[in-house]
Amino acid sequence: MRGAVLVVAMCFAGCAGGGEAPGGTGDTGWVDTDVPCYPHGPPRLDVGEGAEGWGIDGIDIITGIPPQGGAPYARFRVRVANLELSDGAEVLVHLYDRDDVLVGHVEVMSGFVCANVGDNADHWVTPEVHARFDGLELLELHEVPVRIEASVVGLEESVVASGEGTLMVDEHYLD
Amino acid sequence: MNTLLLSVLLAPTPAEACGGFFCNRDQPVDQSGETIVFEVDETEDKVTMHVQVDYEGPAESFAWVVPVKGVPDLFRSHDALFTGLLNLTGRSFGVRTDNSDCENGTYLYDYDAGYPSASSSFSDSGAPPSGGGGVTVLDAGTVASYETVTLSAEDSTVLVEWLQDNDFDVPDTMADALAPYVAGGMNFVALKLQKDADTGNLAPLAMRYDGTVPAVPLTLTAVAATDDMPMTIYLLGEARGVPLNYLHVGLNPLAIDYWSSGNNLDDVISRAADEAGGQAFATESATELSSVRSLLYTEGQYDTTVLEGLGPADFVAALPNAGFFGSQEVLDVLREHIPVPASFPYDENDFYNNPSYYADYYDLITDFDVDAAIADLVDAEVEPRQAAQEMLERASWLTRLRSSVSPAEMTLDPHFGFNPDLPPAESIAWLDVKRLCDTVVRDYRDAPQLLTYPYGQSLVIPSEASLADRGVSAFEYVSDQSAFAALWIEQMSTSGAPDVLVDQSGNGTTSNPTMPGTNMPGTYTNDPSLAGNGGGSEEKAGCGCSATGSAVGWLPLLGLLALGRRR
Repeated sequence: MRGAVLVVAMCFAGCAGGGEAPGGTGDTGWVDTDVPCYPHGPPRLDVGEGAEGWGIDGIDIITGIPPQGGAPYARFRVRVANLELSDGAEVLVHLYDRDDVLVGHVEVMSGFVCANVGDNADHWVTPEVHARFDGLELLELHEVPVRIEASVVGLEESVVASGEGTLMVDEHYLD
Repeated sequence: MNTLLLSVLLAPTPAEACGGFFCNRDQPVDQSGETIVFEVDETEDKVTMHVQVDYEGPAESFAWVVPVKGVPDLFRSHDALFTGLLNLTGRSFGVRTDNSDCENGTYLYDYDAGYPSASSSFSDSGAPPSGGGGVTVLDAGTVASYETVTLSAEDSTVLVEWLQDNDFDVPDTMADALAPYVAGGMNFVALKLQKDADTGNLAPLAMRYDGTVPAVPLTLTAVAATDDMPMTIYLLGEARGVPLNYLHVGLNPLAIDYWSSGNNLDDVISRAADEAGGQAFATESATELSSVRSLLYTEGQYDTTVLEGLGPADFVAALPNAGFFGSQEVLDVLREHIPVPASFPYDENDFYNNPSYYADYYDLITDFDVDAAIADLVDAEVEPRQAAQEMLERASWLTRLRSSVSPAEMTLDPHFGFNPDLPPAESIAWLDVKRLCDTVVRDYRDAPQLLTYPYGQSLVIPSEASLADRGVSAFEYVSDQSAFAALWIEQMSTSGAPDVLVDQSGNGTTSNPTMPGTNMPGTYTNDPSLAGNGGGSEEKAGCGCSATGSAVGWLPLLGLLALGRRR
């Protein structure tokens, strides 16, 4: 990551203050560059539940007990486009029930990597974050509708995403 | 886990101060490494964890607290397990040099680098102590020289107070780290050393608890860990072990110093993990287990009947006949049952190695209980070896993962799983060096060198003489060609190929997340003096090699830092 990060940092230092970089489009205000993860437009946050797919609106959010034990949890992944995250960022995922009560949450500083291949190319990607449902029993969470508010707070900018989903207890625990 | 200092066999780290545990209440002592073995028993939904304890300091300052599900079985492990696993998985890097085209070197010789240098008061009372203030004692006992207690708590501050009140030397700051686990309804196993216990070499400890997914409560470790704390995870299971919620990195072979047997491997792994955002593991080895029979234990290896009824001197003298040799575990038993008399003028080794010669001193030991000594030998040496052997024979795959994590990065407890779709990751890696002599250059020292890394990647570098003139070593020259320690960064799962996030190999695709990586074909020469046709002298005609593939494979390694990568 650092190699790519250095490139980005160098270009920021060299380009941002001086206006458009060579090859820049000018009319969009965004620098046209092929450097992975270089901002090309407004910041965008994608949130995924579990291990696959992106998007949190209308999804089932699988909840379970983490292997090391503790409060019920749900796994989320985040990726960010068009934001400089080489120094990491704070990731926040908050889940509210119908009464607007915060039922699950995570706030954590995470390192990000600039993906340069595959479906995640040109995104800053972080390992999973785990939202915990402190003080709640796992089975209480089954089929509970929630509003999801997620944000990634970088050094200078932040980006948010939201959606509505339904907590579903992992079927392993429902047997 | 957090108060444990677990030996790092590849790079033993001297214990600092109290050795990496919570050693006093004012200042947690840095934890400088962890080595953990996990076995998953999916038929009974149990995880067994073996941890190696390395601690130096006063016995009263030792404390270990680890969150657990339920009430685990605690039992003694054995150092031989960790040594055996290291021998099975230790990374080996070597250079094989071929001077056969040169006048002064016609022999292909191998330099085998070899493996990297490896390097209770509760039970006494007959009943568990009572809990109080929201702390409940679920279990208590002794294992080896540890006093153990399993607790549940409703409040982390109260839990810490309870531990402190019961002479577990934990700092107040531990309460914050424990809070998430308390909130989650976890129980806690706390250990301290029995009074007068010898802290010279603590027995590895094992625990078996409910679960199917190995996990390390690393967030708790952050309380007392050093920067870039090395962490070695062995996974025994039915398939190759993988990190599930941490990223996986494939190491860049150019970053590894093959010429020094890969002795910079820890640094490369640390850098690679940092490049992956700080939460990543590298696979050092992943192999199917096929030859572990009798590695740690053989049926009939020990015959304690030959020890029965013997006095102390005869007992010690007969140990080899009974199958016991000078392991730390045996020594600990001897220290317990046949302590060196205070009047003995020489050192401990003299005493135990010459029982017949020093029989007069052995006669000073009048309270020797041979049956108890035999029982302790079985408990410390025989049964842990047997259990470890059985564990190895149950598993079909052994994976060794390694990482380096700093406290600020310990925000996520790593989980591990097994992926049957992944290939093995070999633990032996060779760098082949071909001296490119021809009709003009006859001395191997003057010939350009064709380096071929594992899986066929290749690179041409200047001659040995030229490098000497420049004042750089071959590794320094090569390492300058690449800014990356991680050639790939990817997300693994319990099935299918990894999801590659970062690929610095230049191929754009990666299918084999082994270490070092694959799919990097091509011969590349970056030195202008070497570029060009197939002459022999680098000064005159450049490289004598013909490309075995495209140069694309290595180009991004050279160009990305300066130019950015063009897609």
